[in-house]
Amino acid sequence: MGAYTWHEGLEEAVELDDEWLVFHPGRFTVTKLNESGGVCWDLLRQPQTPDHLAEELVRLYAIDERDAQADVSLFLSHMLELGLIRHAG
Amino acid sequence: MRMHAAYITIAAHTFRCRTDSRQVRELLVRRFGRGAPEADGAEEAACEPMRLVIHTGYGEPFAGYDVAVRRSARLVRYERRDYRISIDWTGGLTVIDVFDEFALRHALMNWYSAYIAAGAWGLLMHASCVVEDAEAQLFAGPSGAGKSTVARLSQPRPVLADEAAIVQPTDGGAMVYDSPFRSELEAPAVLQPPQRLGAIHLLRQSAEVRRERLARAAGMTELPGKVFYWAARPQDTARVLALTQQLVRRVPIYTLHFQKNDSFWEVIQDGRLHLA
Repeated sequence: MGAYTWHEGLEEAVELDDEWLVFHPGRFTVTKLNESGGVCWDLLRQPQTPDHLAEELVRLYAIDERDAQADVSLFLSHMLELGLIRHAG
Repeated sequence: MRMHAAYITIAAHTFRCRTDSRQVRELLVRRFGRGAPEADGAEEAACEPMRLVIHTGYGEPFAGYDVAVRRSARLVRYERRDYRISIDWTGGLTVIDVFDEFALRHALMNWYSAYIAAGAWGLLMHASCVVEDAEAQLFAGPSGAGKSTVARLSQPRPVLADEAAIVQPTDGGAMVYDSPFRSELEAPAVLQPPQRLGAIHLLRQSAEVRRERLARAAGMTELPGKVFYWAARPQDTARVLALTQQLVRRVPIYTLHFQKNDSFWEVIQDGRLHLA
């Protein structure tokens, strides 16, 4: 399975009152992430596979592996649609 | 072709301007408050490095608000049916071609928003602004939300803007300047001093009158849509987002539910009493 990473020109999320925001200067958008989304975003600074992101969520939040994979899949497709991540390599 | 010269001042910025139209020059002097440049080095030295040239007789009547943005190696261009703005950031020259006065007003707002973003100075916002007790209150929202209505209902309080507010984030908070970009209410003859920004209110017309404080992250997702900005160079867009973030960190943001009367001022004044 392929890996994903930040789109060109994007940076680490900004934290405001325990919520995480990603700015996209190219599209002039602001995307709010919840805590687990913020964790995934931070990891995506480097290329990450969906499996590895799901493993991290299981480790950090003690959630069911299938739930983690479903969450990651939804998160990645949403972030792709917003132009925040791209396929790596 | 004879060119007519003037200085124009918007907020903290003064620009040297030339135009091929006497009527345009008169309009600029009337709205932006400066006359013919004297042979005075001090005036010239206080001007921004960006010079402005305005040509008339361009394009076709207004047909919609969509603006096309194009970039070449040297120029950034904004194009609408009734105006065209060409900015040479390196050479410090902007040429604005317009069809009529309506086009000129909009083109100047488009251009000024880009200018203050590029300088990381401030934001031009879809907002009216009214002053009470030496504090500015901003009322933001899209067309039809009630920005001009709120400004009209608030008279005789001083009005700094009725549709396009000029906001400068500062170390302690933010300042709002007297905006020459007015739709309904004429700007007062004498320029009003800038005021400290007390709060930003996102307008919701409603059967009830109340306001709710927004979390800062929610404010950060709401505010970019309230900024007059046409994304051109990514570095300028990054500056707009950074300025918006500064604003969100330093100024409280509320959702303001209001009726078409001035009772919302009681809610704002109540809120200020509780904070004091």
